[in-house]
Amino acid sequence: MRLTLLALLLLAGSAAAQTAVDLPPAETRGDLLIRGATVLTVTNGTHENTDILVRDGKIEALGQGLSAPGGVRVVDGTGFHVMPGIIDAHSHIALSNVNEAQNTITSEVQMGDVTDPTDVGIYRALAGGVTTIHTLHGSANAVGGESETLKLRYGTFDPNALHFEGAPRTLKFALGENPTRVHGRGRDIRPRSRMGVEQLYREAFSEARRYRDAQNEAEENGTLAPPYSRRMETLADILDGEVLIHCHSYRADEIVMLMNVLRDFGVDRITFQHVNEGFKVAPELADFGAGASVFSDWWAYKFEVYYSTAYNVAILLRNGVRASINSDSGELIRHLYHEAAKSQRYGDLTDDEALSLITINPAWQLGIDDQVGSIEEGKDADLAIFDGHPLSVYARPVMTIVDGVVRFDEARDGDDMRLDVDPEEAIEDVRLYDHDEESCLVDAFVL
Amino acid sequence: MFLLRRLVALSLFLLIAPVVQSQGITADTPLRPVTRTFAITNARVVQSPGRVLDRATVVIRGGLIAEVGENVSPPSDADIIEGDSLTVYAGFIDAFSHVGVTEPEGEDDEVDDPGNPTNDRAGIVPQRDVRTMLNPSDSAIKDLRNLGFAVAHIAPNGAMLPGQGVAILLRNAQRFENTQGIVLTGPLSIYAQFERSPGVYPSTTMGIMAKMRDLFIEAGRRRQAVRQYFDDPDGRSRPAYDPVLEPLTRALDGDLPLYFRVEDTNEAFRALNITDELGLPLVLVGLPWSTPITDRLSGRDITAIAPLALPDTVATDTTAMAIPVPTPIAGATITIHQRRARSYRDLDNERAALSAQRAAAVGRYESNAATLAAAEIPFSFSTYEAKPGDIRANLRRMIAAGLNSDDALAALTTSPAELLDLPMLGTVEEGKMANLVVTDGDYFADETKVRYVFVEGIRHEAEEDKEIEGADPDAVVDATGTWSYTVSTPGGEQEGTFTITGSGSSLSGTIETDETIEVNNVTLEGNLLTFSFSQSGMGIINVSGVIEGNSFSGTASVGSMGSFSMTATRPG
Repeated sequence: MRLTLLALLLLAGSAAAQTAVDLPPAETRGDLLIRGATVLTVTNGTHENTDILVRDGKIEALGQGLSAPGGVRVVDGTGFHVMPGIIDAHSHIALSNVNEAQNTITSEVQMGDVTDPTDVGIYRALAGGVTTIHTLHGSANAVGGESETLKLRYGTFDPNALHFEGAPRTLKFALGENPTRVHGRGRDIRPRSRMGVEQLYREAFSEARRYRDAQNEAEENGTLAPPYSRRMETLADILDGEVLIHCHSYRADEIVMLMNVLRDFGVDRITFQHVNEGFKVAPELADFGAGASVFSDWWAYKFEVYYSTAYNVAILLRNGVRASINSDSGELIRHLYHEAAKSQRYGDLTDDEALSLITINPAWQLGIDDQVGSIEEGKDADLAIFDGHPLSVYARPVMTIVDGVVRFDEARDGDDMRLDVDPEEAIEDVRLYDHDEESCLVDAFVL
Repeated sequence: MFLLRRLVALSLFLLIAPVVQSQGITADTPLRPVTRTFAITNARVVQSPGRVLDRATVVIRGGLIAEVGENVSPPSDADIIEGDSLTVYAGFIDAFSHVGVTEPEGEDDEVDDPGNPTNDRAGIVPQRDVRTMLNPSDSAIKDLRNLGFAVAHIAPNGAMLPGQGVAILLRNAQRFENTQGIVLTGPLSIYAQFERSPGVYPSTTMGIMAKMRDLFIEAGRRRQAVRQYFDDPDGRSRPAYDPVLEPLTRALDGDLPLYFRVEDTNEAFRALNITDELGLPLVLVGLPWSTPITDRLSGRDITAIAPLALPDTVATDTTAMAIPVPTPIAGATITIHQRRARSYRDLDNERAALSAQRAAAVGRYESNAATLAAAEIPFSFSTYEAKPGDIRANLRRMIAAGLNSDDALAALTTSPAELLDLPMLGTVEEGKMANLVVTDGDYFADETKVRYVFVEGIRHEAEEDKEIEGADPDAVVDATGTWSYTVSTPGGEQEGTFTITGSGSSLSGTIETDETIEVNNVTLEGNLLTFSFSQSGMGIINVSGVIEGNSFSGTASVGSMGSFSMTATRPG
C-alpha cells in the first residue's frame, strides 16, 4: 500500500498537466486503436472486448483482434466503456452573444458569426464526453437567429474550424413567456400574449412568401427586386424546407399552435426544445414527425414550466417521438450522461434508449445522424470513454475523442485549460461564474 | 428699433467672428515663422529604415525637403540647426486614431421602436466625413507630435459604421487659418467596428454582422441597378440615391478600404470572415495579438495596424508554472489512469501559476509586432487607446520582445505612407514633405530625447514630459501611516483610505476601495510616493504623488480611462 502511494506521488510529479495550446490543430483527423473495450454502439447493441480502429478521423473498423499500422497510437480499453461522443442539441456555450433582443424577429443573425472557440466551457463539455453541440440563439425573440452545429475541436482560435461540415441550417423559434416578457411587457410592443406570438409567425411567413414571390417575379421580368433582407431570405428558406426549426416551448397548447401554423405554411421539419408539456401532446408530435429535446428533471423555474414530469421523455419515446436530452447550461453539459441515466431510472428505458437520448436522437434532430451519433464503421470517430458504464452514477469520463483526436484526456488534464488569457485580468478576482443563470435570456434585457 | 437691434447683433457677430474662426488656437500655436527655410547640418540622417547617412545636411524649404546629402551646404536664408549630435528621421505617421476628432455629444435618445431605428441612431453613418468633426485644439495633437508623429489617419467616433477617415497634419491650426487647414487629404477609409449603438438594433456583434451583410449586399445590388439605368434607362425606374449605400459602394469597388477595428482574435476572425464573404478590401486595425491569425493573413493583400497600446507588465514568479508535460508517444500504449497533484490544495502555487499565465499573455501582446514582421504581414502602428506617455516605452518593450528596430521604424514611417497611399511621406528624401523628427540619439533608446518635430516644414520644439510638481528627490519624508484619500473623477469623488507600512526600500501597503486590496510596487523617491494596485473591472491603477507633511497630492491613473487628481491626508 505504501509503495502504491509512493508510485502515485512519483507519477504526480512527472506525468501531468497539458495546456490548451498543446492540443492538436483543429484540422487534424486522427488515427487511433482502442483495444479491448466494451463498445456501446447505441444503434447496434453492445460489444464486449472489442477494438475500434480509427483512421483519418473516421471509424474504419469495429471488431476483435484488430491491429494498428505502425505509428498509430493505441489506447488500452480493457475495463473501459466506449460510447458515441455525446451530442447536446441545445447549448449556449462557445458564444460571444446569445440574444439579439432588440427585435422580435431576428432570423438574419447567425450564431456561427459569434462562435467563441476560446470559451473554456468547450473543454469542460469535452470533459463530460460531449463532442458535438448545437449553439442556439436565446429565447427572447419569437424568431431568433440561425443556430450553429459545432464539433468541439478545442485548442483552435479559428471559429470556422469548429463548424460541423455538412450540418444543415437550423434556426431558433421561441414561444411563451420569454418573448412576451422581453418585448410585450418589457417594451410594450407585440407580442404581449401567446396569441400575439402566433400572429407574428403568420405575418412573418406571409411576408417572407411575398418577398420570395417578388424576387422571383423581378427575375422573370428583369425588374428591380425588393431590397435585400437576410431576415426575409432566411424565413423564406424555412418555407422552402432548407432550414430546420428548433423551437423553445413549454406548454402543450402553444406547441399544437405552432404545428398548426407550420402545417398552414407547408413546413414539416421541427424539433421542439424543452417541451415540458410534450407528454400531453406526444401523439400529436409523433403524428407531425416533430422531434423533442427535453430536460430530464428541470422545471418550475417560472410559471409556464410548473406542469412537468420526469416521465416526459419516456412518454415521448413510447409514443414514437424522436426525443433527446439537452443541457441549455454550461454546467449540465458536463454530465448529460447522468441526465440520460435519470430518464432511464424514471421511465424504465433500456440502456440503448437512454443513450440514444444524448447520441443518435439529437444527431437526427440536427440532421447529422448520417455522420455521428453511433459507433458504426464509416462514421466520424467521435467517442467518449468512461471507466464504467456511462449510465452508472459511478462512471467517469476519462477520454473524449473528436475526429479521432484525443481532445480530453483525464490523465493529462491541465489545471488551467484556458486558451486565451486576458493579460489585464486581476488574479485575485478569478472565480467560477454562475452556470445556472437562465442562459436562454443572456443579453435579453441589456439596453 | 428693429434695425438698430439687428445692427447691434451684426456688429457683435463681427466682433465675435474672428474669435470663432480662431477657435482651437492655443498658447502653443506657432506664429507663422519668419523663415520657412531650415538647414539641419552634419546630422545623422535616417532616410528610411536601414538607409542612413552618417553626416549629412537636410535643407527644408517651403514645407518640402529641398536637399539631403553629405555635401550639401546650407542656403544663406536658412535657419541653421547644428546637427552634430542629432539624428533626423522621417516624421511618424499614426495609421489610425481619433486624435483631433470631436467626441460625440449628448446622450442617445430613447426610441419608440428600438427594433427599427434610423440609420443615424443605429450608428450606420458611413457617409459622415471626419473633416466635419475636427477639433484642432485637442491636446493629444501636441502629445503625439512631441513623440515624433507628424501625420495621423483619423476616423470619426461612433458605433458600427462611424464614417470616413482622412489624413491630418499634427499641428494646431495657425492664426487666421480655418480648422480644415490641418487636413492633408481624404477620404481614405471607411471605418467599421463591432460597436453597438446603445438601446437599439443591432445591439450585438452578430446583429452588427447581419446588418453589414444587408447593407453591403444591398449596396452591390443597387450599384448594379444604377449602372443598368444609366446605361439604358428605357423601361427601368431609377434607383433612388441613398447616402448610406453610396459610400459602401465605393468600398465594394475597392476605392475605399474598410478599416475594421478589432479588440481580440475572435473579432479579428469575424472581421476577416465578413469582409471575405462580402468581397471588401480590409485593413485590420488594433489586433493586439496576431499569432492565431497569421496563417489566415499571410500572403494576402491585408495590412494589419498594430496597437501601440500594451497591457501593463505583470510581476510574477514564473518558476511555479514549470510543470513538465509528457508528449504522447506514437505507437505506445498508454494507460488511462495517471493522476497528478491537485493545485487547489496549494493556493500560493495556483496564484503563481495564474500570474505566470497572465505574464505569458502580456508577453504575447508584446511580441505582436515581431510576429507580424516574421510572418511578413505588412503592418503599421496605431496610437488608438495608447497613452502618449507610454508609447515610447511600449516600442522598447516590443523591440525587447524581438521586433527589429528597422521594422519598428518602418511601421511608423514607410509602411503607413504606403498603406495610406501618400508617397510624399515616410522618408527623408528630396522633394518629400518636410515632416521630420530630430532627436539627440537612437529614437528607440531609453535616454534619447526628441528635440524638434517638423510638420510640413514648420518647426515645433518637443516638450519634455512634465515633472511632477513639487517632487524633490532629495527630500526626506515618511510615507507610512493610514491616509484618507479623495479621487476626483468625472463621475464624482471617490473616497477611502490607504495604508503604507514598512521602511526604506521595502514598503508595502493596502488600499480600501470597495474592498481591501494589496498595493504593489510601493516606492518612495525623495518625497514622491508611487504605488499601483489592480481592481476588478478597472485593470491596474497607478498612483503617484508628492508628500508634504501630512498631505499627499498627486494622480491616480486608471488604464486607458485617464488620470484623475488624488489628494490624501493622514492624522498629524
